[in-house]
Order: sequence, then structure tokens, then C-alpha cells
Amino acid sequence: MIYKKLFNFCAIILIIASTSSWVLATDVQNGKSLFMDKCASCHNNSMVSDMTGPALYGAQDRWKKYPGAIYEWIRNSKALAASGNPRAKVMIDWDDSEMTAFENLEDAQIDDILAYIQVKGEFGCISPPCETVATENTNTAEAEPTSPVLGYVLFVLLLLSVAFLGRYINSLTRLSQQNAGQVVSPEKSIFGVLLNPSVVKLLIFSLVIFGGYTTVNNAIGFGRQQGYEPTQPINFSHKIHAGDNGIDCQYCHDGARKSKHSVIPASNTCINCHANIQNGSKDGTKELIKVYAASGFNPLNNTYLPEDMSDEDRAATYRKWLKSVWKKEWIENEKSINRLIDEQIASVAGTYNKPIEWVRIHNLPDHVYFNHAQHVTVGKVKCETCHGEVAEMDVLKQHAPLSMGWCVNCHRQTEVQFKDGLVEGKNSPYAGDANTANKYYTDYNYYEKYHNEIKEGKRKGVTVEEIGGLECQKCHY
Amino acid sequence: MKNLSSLYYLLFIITASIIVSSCGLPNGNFPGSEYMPDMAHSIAYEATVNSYYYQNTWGGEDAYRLMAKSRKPVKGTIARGFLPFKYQNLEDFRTSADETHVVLQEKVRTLIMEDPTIVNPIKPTSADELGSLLQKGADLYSVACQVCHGEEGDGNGVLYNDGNGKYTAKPANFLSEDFLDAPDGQFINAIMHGKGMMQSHSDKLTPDERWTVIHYIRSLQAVKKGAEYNPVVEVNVSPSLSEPITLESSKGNGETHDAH
Repeated sequence: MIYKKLFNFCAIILIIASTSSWVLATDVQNGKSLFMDKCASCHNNSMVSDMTGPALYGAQDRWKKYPGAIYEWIRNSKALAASGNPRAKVMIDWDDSEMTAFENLEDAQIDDILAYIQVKGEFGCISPPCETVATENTNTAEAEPTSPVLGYVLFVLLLLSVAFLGRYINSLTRLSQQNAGQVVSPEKSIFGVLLNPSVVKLLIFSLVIFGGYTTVNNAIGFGRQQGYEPTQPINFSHKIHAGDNGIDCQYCHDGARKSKHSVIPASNTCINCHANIQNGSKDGTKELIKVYAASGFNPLNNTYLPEDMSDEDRAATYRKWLKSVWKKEWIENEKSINRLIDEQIASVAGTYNKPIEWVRIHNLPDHVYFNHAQHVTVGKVKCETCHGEVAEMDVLKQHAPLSMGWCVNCHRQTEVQFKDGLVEGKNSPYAGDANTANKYYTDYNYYEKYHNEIKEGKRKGVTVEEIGGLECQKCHY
Repeated sequence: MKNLSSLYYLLFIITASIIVSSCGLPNGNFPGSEYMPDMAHSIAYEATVNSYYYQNTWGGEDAYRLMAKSRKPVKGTIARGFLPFKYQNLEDFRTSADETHVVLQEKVRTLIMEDPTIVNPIKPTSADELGSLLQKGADLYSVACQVCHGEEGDGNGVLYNDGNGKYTAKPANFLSEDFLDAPDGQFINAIMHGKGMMQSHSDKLTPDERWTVIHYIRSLQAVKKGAEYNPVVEVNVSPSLSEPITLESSKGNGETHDAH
């Protein structure tokens, strides 16, 4: 009897438990889609940091004092504040912009959203354990750089075998001389061999050739900076921004399409994304705080700090921000996080509201004129053609020599967009798929001769050289 | 004596080769050596170049920095293509002296968003012109908007990626009902002043480029609606033009053009 009761009890418990967890699951899924649809443009999807609206994790607890008021608040925050709810009165002044009224949301839907907020804020995802988004690691395929050690070993072995062979031949000769009863020539020491005039001559000759080669090579390299890879004031990674995140080069280097310079972007460009992304994937807040300090941005409420603010106040603001970012870790390990915050605040001292002094890498001599807009917008040359695979560089490095020979070579080989499409087999420097002809070449009478030649099949395309791309005054004037 | 001079000779060769070999190739923080550097560095100011250099003997580095920083344009001048916007001067819209700058700013932005008289000033006059305009708009969109707002304008760019990306704020979905019928002011306000988490993109796009992008966004919306995007307006062509521009004569989109 008692067993039956116990069994029934267990069964009921099991049923309740399973249904409740099932209900919870659907709740959260539905809540997620509702949240994405209605809330996510103002409230942070991480739930633990502020955005246009406050962080929502724990909102239910904060509204516990006034049962039911949270539903009213979501449906119409202004009306609730006007009706005199004390918490609503406080919250309405949280930011200048007021919360959109969602009058059509039902209680059940709001419950779903709140459930999603609770789960997401606590665990960071809907169904714990959370999978961290695996970053694609293509490093495994990377070839090991061939080490020169093997070559050296072979060289030494070769030398040794030559020495032994020489010794052997020498002994054999002397033995045969002895057998024949001739005068035995004296045994040569290793120095005797090395100081042999012909060996010395050969050594001097190879030294002159080698020395001359390196001297000429280095002399040509004077003033060129191929391979220059300076440390920048901020540990900015092109690999993360242009590679992993797929941000277009010209988003930040916005001068490239319309001016001579590609432009080192101003720090407000960083803020466009980092107003939201406040914790870097590689360096956390260590490098981001430098950007905030330089631009005067206040990451706590998405505004810029007033210009006349003192350095101490700025430091206090950023300290507050760092504390909010590291809240979770701070509870666990107060000491080390405090030290981290102190270090980071100290690292930006004296840089408040001052431009970031990036080190320019690509420098042309003063007597050369180069225009980015002409190459990027008109010539449609891809950035990678001259700057290399920037999307794979953590620290930017000068890829091309930027020498005159290098310029001239490209002008000789590159075809301009004289007609729609390109000649097959040519390595296209153009970006984009639409290889439509440049109107200047199609409409300008001057180029009729070339068009006729293309029509007659005498030529396949027109290179930069053929439209005057090698004239001295094009670049030197 | 002869031995001594050959010793000097040897010493000379060693010093010379040390000096020459110290002119190494660039790597890491070392930009490489230069030969006659005064021909390579500009004494005149250049953008994004720190040309504080030893031949600038007229002042210290502080004086140089003071002179070399970017300055505001001369008062009263307007750069080409940057005509002042109707709502440029906030003070024109002040109704009471109590309004703070922030409140006034918010008010004017609401005005811009709701103003039906703000319409796209770029009006293509032929299908051909519209084609090249949209091509330009697509290029600009892919550069400046696509990472967040997505290739189709659905607010699901690579950075957001359905809430799984690094960017945690949901970018606006241009294909949602709120935006399909929104006035142009709403778009231009977001580009110029930012909206929500979005920051101002005034420095990234010139006024003409902003409206070109808006044309492109409208064409994306037209695809969603299943309609043809046709903002082409016919203009009265002055009689001095020998060949009136009509829709028919310019339909040859994609054909080779005769030289004018």
C-alpha cells in the first residue's frame, strides 16, 4: 500500500518536473524571439551591461516590491510613472530617451521574455552548459618553416668527406711513390692546403662577389621600408577586425575612395562599434580603454564626456566603467581585478582627449605623388594588391617595397577597364565582379584608335603604360 | 713600417664594413636606413605624417605640433558638396530659454525624423542614371552599412549574426514594417546623428553619399515589397540640347556607348 502511494507520489513529481521543464523550454525559446524582435535594439543581449536601455538581468527582482507593475511598465512606462509608482518615477529619468510602449504584449508573452532574460543573464545562453562559439582555427594547416639546420649539416658533411678523400688520395699517392722508389713528397698539413695560392684567390674572389652582392642589395634598400613592422600605441589587430569580423577596409580608411590619403581613422571610428562591444576578444579592456580615453567617450551611457572635464573625473568615470565590466570577476577575485583596474587606469594617464599617435608605415618620398582615390575608385585596384594580406596580420607590416621599379612593373602589366569584362587569363587586380568599362575610355574620342584595334583583333586590352601611365610627370612634378 | 701600414689598411677595412653593415634592412620597429633623407621628407605639412624633422629648426616639437594639427575652415566658407542642412542650426528651433543643449538636440532630431518635406535630393533622370546610382549606392552600402545591417538590409549583419555575433545590439531591419513606409528623414537622421547604439556616420559619408545609400536601401525595400524601384523623374529639357533625354532613348543600359 505504502509503496503504491510512494510510487504515485513519485510519478506525479516526475510528471510535474518534466512538464515544468518542458514549459520552461518553450517559454524561453518564445521569449528569445520576442526579445530579439522588440527589445534587442535598445537592451543589451548580454543582459548584464547597459546600452540605450539598462541591463535587464534581475529586473524581476528589482520590481518585486510592486507586484504586477513590471507588466504595466513594459506596456506603457510613461503612464505608470504618471500614476505615481515610485520605482517608475526613478526609472523614467534613467536616460533622456524614453522606452517604447508595447501595448499589445500580453502577460504570458512578458513572462516569456522575463524568463529568457533570467536564463540568458545567469548562464549566458538558453541551454546551459553554454557552448563557446568556436573560432575557426586554420593554423593547423600552416606549413612549418623549413629549417636551415639540415642544410648546414649536409654542408659540413660534404666538407668533411672532401677533407677525408683528399687525405686518402694524398696517402695513396705517397704510397705509390714509395713503391716506385721515387722521392716521396712531404705530407701537406691542413694549413698548407688552405694557404695554397689558388685556394686563397678563390676565397678572396667569392668574398668580393658575396660582399658586393649584399652591399648593392642593401644600398638599393636605402629609404625603402619593406618589412617595417612597428609596435603601435594600441595593440590593434587587423586580423580580428578585417579578417574575422569582415569589416571592409574602406569603412575605417574612408579617405581611400575620395582623397589622396587612405587616412588613419579618427578615434570616433572605433567608437562606432566599440560603443557596444566593450570587452575585446583578445586584450579585454586593456586596449579599449585607450581608445575611450583618447576619444573622450563615456562607455557607461553612450555619450562623449564634456570637453572641460578634468583628468581626475575622467579617470573616475573609466574606473566606474571597468568595475561594471568586470563585475562578475570582481566578486570572485577582488584583489587581482582591483590591480587590473589600477593598471589600466594608470596606462591611460595623460592621454585623455589627445589623438592616438599611430605610427605610419607606408611612406613615399616627398618627390613622388601617389593618389589613393585614383587607384581605388577609378582603377578599382584591390587594397591587397599593394598592402598584402592585411586581413591575416595581427601587427601590420609593409608588404610591398614601394619602389619605382615595383610601380612601373604594375603599370606595365595592369590593364585598364577599356571594355566590359577582362581578358581571360589575366590576373585581375580589380575589386568586385562588375567589370564594366570606364566611361572615360569608352566616351573619349582620343582612344578611338585602341578601340578600333580591339575590334580588329590586333590587341586584347590596353595597359596603364599605353595610356601614359609611365610618363615621368604623372608621379614626379 | 710596411707592416704597420698594412695593419692600418686592415683596420680601415674592418671599420668601413662595420659602418656599412650597420645600415641594415628594415624590420620590426626599425624603418631602415636612409640615404640623403632631406630629399625624402616633406618640410611642408602632410596629412597623417609626423614630419617633425631635424631641418625644422624654427621651433621645438611643441611649436610644430601646434601648427601641424588640423584646423577649422575659414569662418563663413562652405566646402563643395557640403551645403548646410535645413536643421543645421539648432538655435533656430529653440522655443524656450530653459532648453538644454541635449534636450534641444533631441527635439530637432525628432523634427527631422518626422519632417515629410525632407526628400531625397538626388533625382535620377533616366534609367541609365538610376542604374549607375544604385551601383554606387551598393558599393557604399557594402562598405559602410553591411557589417551590421546585413547584405539584404534585414538587420542581420555578420557582426550581429542573430544575436550570436560580437555586436549585442540588434541593428535596424530596413525590411520591417516600421521602415518600409518611414520618411527619408528617419534614414538621414540616423546616418547623420546616430540612433540608439548607432553612432553618427557624418564623417564617413558625404551628404551626396548619404542620399545615394538611401536610394540603395529604398531599392532593397522595393525588392522586399516585390515592386520595381522607380524614382526616375522626367525633367523639362531645355531646347538648346540637340538630343532630348527621354526614357526610351536611354534604355540601352549595358550597350557600348558612342562617343559624344
